[in-house]
Amino acid sequence: MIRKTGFTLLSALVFGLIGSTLLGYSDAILFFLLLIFIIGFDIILFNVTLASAISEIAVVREVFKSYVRKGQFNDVQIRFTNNSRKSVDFSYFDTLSSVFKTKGDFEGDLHLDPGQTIERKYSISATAIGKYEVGPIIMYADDPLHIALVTYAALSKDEIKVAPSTSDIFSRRSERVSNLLYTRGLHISRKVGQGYNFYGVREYTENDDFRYVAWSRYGLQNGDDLYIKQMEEERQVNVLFVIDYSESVNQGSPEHLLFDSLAAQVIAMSHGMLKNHDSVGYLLTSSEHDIYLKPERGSKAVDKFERAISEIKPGGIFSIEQAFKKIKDRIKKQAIIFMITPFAYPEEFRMNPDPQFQLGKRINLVIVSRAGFIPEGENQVDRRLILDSIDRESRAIKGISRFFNSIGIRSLVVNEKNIVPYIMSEYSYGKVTQ
Amino acid sequence: MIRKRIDYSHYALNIGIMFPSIFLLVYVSTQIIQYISAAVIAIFLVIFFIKYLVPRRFRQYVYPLAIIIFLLLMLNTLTLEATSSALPILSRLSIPLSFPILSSFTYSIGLITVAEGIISPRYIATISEFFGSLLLYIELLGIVAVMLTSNSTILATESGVASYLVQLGVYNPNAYIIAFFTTMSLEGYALYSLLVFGYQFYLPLTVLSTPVDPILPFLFMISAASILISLYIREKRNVASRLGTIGFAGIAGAFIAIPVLLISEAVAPYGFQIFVISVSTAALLIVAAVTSRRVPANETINTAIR
Repeated sequence: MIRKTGFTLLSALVFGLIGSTLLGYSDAILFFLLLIFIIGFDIILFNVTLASAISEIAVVREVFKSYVRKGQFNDVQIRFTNNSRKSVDFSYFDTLSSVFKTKGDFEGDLHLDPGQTIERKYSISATAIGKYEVGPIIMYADDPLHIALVTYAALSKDEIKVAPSTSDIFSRRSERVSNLLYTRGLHISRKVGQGYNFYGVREYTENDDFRYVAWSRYGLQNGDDLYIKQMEEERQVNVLFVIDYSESVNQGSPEHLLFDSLAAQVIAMSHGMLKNHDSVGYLLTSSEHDIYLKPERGSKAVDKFERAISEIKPGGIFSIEQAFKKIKDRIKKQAIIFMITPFAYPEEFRMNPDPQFQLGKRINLVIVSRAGFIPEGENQVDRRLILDSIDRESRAIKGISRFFNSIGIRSLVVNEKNIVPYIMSEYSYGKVTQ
Repeated sequence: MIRKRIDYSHYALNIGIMFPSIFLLVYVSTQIIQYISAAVIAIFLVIFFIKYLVPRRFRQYVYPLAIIIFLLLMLNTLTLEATSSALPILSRLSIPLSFPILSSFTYSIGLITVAEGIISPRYIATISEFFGSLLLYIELLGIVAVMLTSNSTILATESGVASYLVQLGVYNPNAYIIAFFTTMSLEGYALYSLLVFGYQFYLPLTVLSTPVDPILPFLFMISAASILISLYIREKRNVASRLGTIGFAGIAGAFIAIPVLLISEAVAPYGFQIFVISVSTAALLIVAAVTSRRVPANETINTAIR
């Protein structure tokens, strides 16, 4: 394939040849003719030798693991075999998503003699969760004058599924979250009933079970009065995370993506909820994805969620009406529902409450601000424009939040840092008031 | 502040590429300096320097803006020539339509093209500017050749189908002007005859010789070598083992180009010069295009290490 430079050069030469022929200066005619023929032959020689031989190179890629965690290095090996009868010099690179960090020879120059095989190794580490393609391997070569180019794609593709990193999950399910869960300023009466946690004492009545008598308080006031220990009622609740997994969560830089951060925080919160013996379920929804993992107890729920998000990438359009419809169809029992969306491309809402939104379930609409995921501008003008955009969007999503609050759906705009405190406090509130 | 190192080899190659144009510029200047306006050349040089004095982001607009201003001035001048009434301010902005001024435009455009070619950071731009300036100075060389002709009469009937006669006085004070219009008229008529009748008669440079004729072929060789070297080193990715193919292409190119030129000169009296050159060039370009087909992508087998 002749490059743009080659076409430019040939055009200029033909122009010069025509001009010099019309002017009748034989030295100039010879000069232009010579250059045209040298460059023409250079292209033809390249086409019939290297460009035809490059398609006879067999390429095999071997990926060490197809399922890895974020940040974990995965080894890849590429084997090139020259099946042609000519020596070939070429360059190659493996096509990788921008979320991959690389170490080693994912690109380079090679010289292969006939029949020779060369191996190249490199490692990749993903900076975001999801399913990513590795490949195809592109081989390319050009002529010595760099005016013709051949590109050959070995259509070998591999898929790598990336789950959240263990460090992300473990750091967030640390004591900090647990403390937050139990000490945040909620002062609502808990319920008395069967349980392990001590709630208080009250005076004994005839119907009370004698086993719960608080003997340490016997005769506290008049010598023969009895007291009964009261335990805090332990109730299991179903929690459902409805996550907008449309293009609107695919925001940020490869090192800091909104969907990646959301997934890690949801997993961390799920661990906190599972510790309370509650059931956690997930609904990943958009026009492209509809993955429902019904609420269940134990770490299996989180494992399933990790698997699910490592096999997809955000895509499609999010519709809150559709999300409500899916919740209505699937959640029959009482549940605390957290619908998490950035409302990046909001729909138009009717001014009157839509019956679609009246599900009779406790739904918390968590609107995630994208402010932390917008790259900083390179200059003053860009920065001002970005700040202005953030400000406008903030006002828009606050308006949406007000609208949902007005129709009886609890809603709050949160940023990346206060999403966990907000959801966990709403969870605590829901747990004690259910 | 980190100072960028000046790449002298780049400028040396640029000068090598532009060598024939630089030489012709110097030669033509010595011959026609008395016929051209220094003021016009100074204006063009100022535009050239302005381009490098303005901030980088405005540089690309300097030449287009200069062309627009020039065209507006020309329009104003022609309007004033055609109509008597005009605003006083507009009459001050007219360009004197004298021969030295108009011929200086051609010369100055060539001068700027050569200067831009020498300092251009991209070899392809230098090569393009070389071709443009070369044709311009060959044109001027043709005019100078006619101007310097000591014979009072030049008779050329080489193509056998058309002839022309040039009569010039050796001591004519307006020799350049006469040569300019003679050459232009001949070129115009040659192009007309080519397009309408399909043949071309010889132009001054074919039948007249100039003092630079023995030197120019060597300069063309230097330029051709510089062009090939600049194309080779243009990109960092150079494979020395494939350097031999340039040599092979050079030999093959010379083996074909020289016979093509000889054949074209042999058939020139019959009006087939352009035909031979066109057919040979077109055939080469067709072969280059046909062999440049895309290589289809291929499916290969992948295995995962477990």
